[in-house]
Formats: sequence, C-alpha cells, structure tokens
Amino acid sequence: MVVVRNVRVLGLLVLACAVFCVSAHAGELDRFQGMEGTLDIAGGTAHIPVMKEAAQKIMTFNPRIKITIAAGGSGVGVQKVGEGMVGIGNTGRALSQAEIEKFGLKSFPFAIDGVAVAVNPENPISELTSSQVQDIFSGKIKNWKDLGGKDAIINLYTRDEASGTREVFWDILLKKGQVDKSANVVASNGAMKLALSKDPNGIGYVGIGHVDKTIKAVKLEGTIPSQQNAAEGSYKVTRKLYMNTKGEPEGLTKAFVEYVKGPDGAVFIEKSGYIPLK
Amino acid sequence: MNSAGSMRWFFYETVKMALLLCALFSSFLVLTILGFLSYFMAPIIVNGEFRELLATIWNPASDSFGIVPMIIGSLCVSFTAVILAYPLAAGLSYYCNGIGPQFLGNKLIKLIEFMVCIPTVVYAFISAILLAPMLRSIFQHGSGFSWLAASLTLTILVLPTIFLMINTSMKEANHKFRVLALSLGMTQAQALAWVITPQARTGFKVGLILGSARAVGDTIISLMLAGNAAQFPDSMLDSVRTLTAHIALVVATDSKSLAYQSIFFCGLLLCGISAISNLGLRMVSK
Repeated sequence: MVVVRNVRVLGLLVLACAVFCVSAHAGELDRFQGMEGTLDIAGGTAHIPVMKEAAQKIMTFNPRIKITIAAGGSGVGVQKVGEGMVGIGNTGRALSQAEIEKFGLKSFPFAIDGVAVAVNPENPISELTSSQVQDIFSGKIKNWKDLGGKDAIINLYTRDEASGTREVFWDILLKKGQVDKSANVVASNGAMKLALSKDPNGIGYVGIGHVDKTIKAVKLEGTIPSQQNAAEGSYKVTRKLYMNTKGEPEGLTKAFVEYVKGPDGAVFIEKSGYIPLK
Repeated sequence: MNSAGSMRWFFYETVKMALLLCALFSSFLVLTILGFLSYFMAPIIVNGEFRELLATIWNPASDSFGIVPMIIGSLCVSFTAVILAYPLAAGLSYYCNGIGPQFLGNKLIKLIEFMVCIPTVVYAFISAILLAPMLRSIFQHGSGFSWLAASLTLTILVLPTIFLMINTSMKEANHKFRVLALSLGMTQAQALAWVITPQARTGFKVGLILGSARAVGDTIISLMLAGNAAQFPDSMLDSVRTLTAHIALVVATDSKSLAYQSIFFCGLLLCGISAISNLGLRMVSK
C-alpha cells in the first residue's frame, strides 16, 4: 500500500509540474482565449523564425486559431497586406511614404537585426573599415598582410541567397557590391560560426545575437558590434524588422502583434538572434 | 478442390495482389515526382527562361542564373568519390571472400554493414571539423572546403553500398563454385579471378549503379564540405557547388524568382543523371 501511495504522490507531482510549466507564460497567451479564425502572414524571410514560434504557441494554446506564414520578401509583404490578401505583411525595412499613403498601412517595429563581421579568434586583426570589408569581399584585397595581418590568403565565407543576414550585410555594409564568386557559401549562422572557428584565415559575418567566444567579431569603423550599440544606433549594420497592418489592427491580428511585442515575443526574438524592440 | 487447397490458393492470390499493389504504388510515387518536377518546370520552358539557366554564371544579384557550374560540380565530386570507393570496395570484397582469413573477413563485413547505418550528417560534421582544416593545413591552399573534401567524405559514404553489393554476389558464387574450382586444381587466387569474379558480375554492376546514384544524390555532405561557391574549379582544392547543395541553398528564396525556378530544373537534371547512368550501365553490360 505504501508503494501505491507513493506512486499516487509521484503522479500528483508530475501533474503539478505539467500544470505549472504550461501556465508559466499563460498570462501572455490569455488574450487569445475564446478567439477563433485565421490569420495569414507574408513577407520578410528574417521574420519567419519569430512568427513561426509565436504561431505555434498560439495554435497549441487555442487550436481554433489558424495562422499561416509565407515568405516572399519585404516587397511581397507590403503588396499582400496592402491588397488585403494577408493580415500582417512583414518587411525588413521601413515603409516608404508612398506605400503608407497608397495602402493606409500601419507599421510595428519589433526587433533589430544586426550583423557583425567576424574572423577566427586567432586572427590579430580586430578592426576594419567599411571600405576594407567591401574590398575584402569583392576580392580586391586577397591577403591578410595587406590589412596588417600575417601573410596568408583570405578565405571568404558568405551566406545563401535566402539569408536575411546576408541581405543586411550586402545592403548596408557592401552597399550591394559584388561578392567574389570563389567565396564559400554556408547555409546558416551556426555553419558560419563552425567554419570561422576552424579557419584561421577566414572572414565572414553572423547575426549579432550569434556572436560568442568561438569567433571574433571585428570592430567596424571603431564600433563594437554589440547588442547595445546596435540598439542605440551607434553600430550601423542593422535594420529593424517590422510587422505591417492595413489600418489599425483588430481582433486576432491585434492580439498577435501585441503578443510578438510582449515578453513571450522577446524570448522568441532573442532565440532567433535578434534584439527585441520595446 | 478441397477446402485446405482453396485456402492456400486464396492466400497465395492475396499475397500476390498485395505485392502487385506495392509495386504499383512505388512506381506511381516515382512518376508523380517526375510529373511534379515537369509541371513546375513547364512555365519556364514555355517562355524560354530555361535558356538563362543553361549559362555559366550564377549571380542572382546581377540577374545571372546559370546552373552549369553546379552540373560540373556534381559530376566532379561524385565521379571522384566513385573512382576512389570502387577499387576499395572491390578489394575489400576479395579480401573477405577468400584472400584474407575468414574470421577477420566476417568482422570486416560486420563493420561495413554497421557503416551503412551511420547517418550522413555525422560523416559530414566530422569531416567539416577535422578533414577540411587538415586539407587546408596540408596543402596551404584555400579554406579546405573543397571538391576534394566532399569527394573523400563521399567515398566513405558510398564504399559500404558498393561493397555490400559485390560481397553478396561474390559470397553466393563462392558458395556454388569455390570447392569445385579448387578441386579442379585451381589456386585460391585463380578461382577468384577466373570463376568467382565472372559469376559475381551482377554485383559489380549493381554496386557501380547504386554507388554512383548515392554519390550524385547525397546533399548534406556536399553542402557542408564542398564550399558551395558557384564556380568552375581550377583544382581539387577549390570550392564547388553541387546540384543537390544548390537546391538546399536556394529553396527558401522568393518563390517568384528565377533562382527558385532553377531548383526544379536541378531536380529534373538529377533524376536525368541517375536515369542515364542507370540505363547506360545496363546497355554496356548486356
């Protein structure tokens, strides 16, 4: 009988744990209580991990809500939300005045996506200028010694076409300049870190949230690429991520925007390597 | 017909039907995949955009969508791997079927059978942290992520596939003819060369087909090791991009772009390469 009782106590404990875990963030999800319907989201690729995570939590909490997420890029995001085909259109850039006026859109910035240029921790170089980075990636500078480092050929690492990190780096730092075609292409921030941590002559770039001690983030124009500098604006290779709605959001759309901008959203944003915006 | 007999007949017919359904379903799946690929390809064939894909420069930023470097990359990487793996697999099979001591041979077979179960991503990851840096420091050229790194890793991947095919048919031939050949006064080596090998030729053929197909079709190894630069390699230490890695890298892009369309073409090409090599080998070996 003692055994049976123990099993019962154990069962209660497990149940209590389960209830407790579920309810840890339930306060945030409560706004979806009793809601019903479908929310379609489209646009920027960088947003997708955050949107997915939020959607998953919401749909698990309330199965009567259905949220679909499509990529397509910022342009598609504006177009679709403007024409009323989706509830939220994501963009990796601020909307132009023309877009706001034409469609009557409202923007909700929710995260900062910053990109750091990174090298192997053994590399003596720890500071570069924008034009040096441009010359390195275009293949004009080929040897580390031209930058004051040791005599070794520079190995370039870049990201795949679909990468939001690549988009920021290429748009803002390279000013849409050419990337040498001999550059190695890696498929994720993780793969980039792995490659750079093993290659003493490599150079690449990662989302600021992914910087750790396995790689060295170089100072750009004298500024450390830190979360703080990116948030303050002194580090320039950043962009904001926006959700856009047609007019003032209502119902499920409003709840979703609030959820992503709330404490739960902040967790997802950090997990995806971005900096949450209040 | 008595009842036991009709029961047996009924059972036999049911099994036959079930097997036929399995076969039909598998063929249906293959045809569906080909059908879908063609369906997605159709628009760019009709409006002539596929000609842009058959170019030599891949640079979506300047509207160049040539996938020829990827075709060359795939062929280079997989061909080298098969060239390396095939003699190794054949040699191992001879060792396990008569040249080497039996107890060691059996252990080797067990080991190689185990190799088949190792997920490719494990090979790829270990090579990425060990082999690529090693190649870089030995040759002092490039990053180590290269045609050579991918081929060497693929060699380990396709070796068991080829070996098991050859080994199985060699074992069977051994079982049937070895004692006969030895009793006719042949030495062990003569028996292997003149009796067993010709008898096991199906295994040698199938091993080549399956090994090549695996080498061309593998994605994660080339994605993690070949470097993925869309260029024509000057040496085996240069970074290359295979068709499979290209699909993996481009699949998440804007679905309206020609870059995205290109991956269906890559898929069709991959199917084509397998089909042609398969048919070609069958014709040659008839």
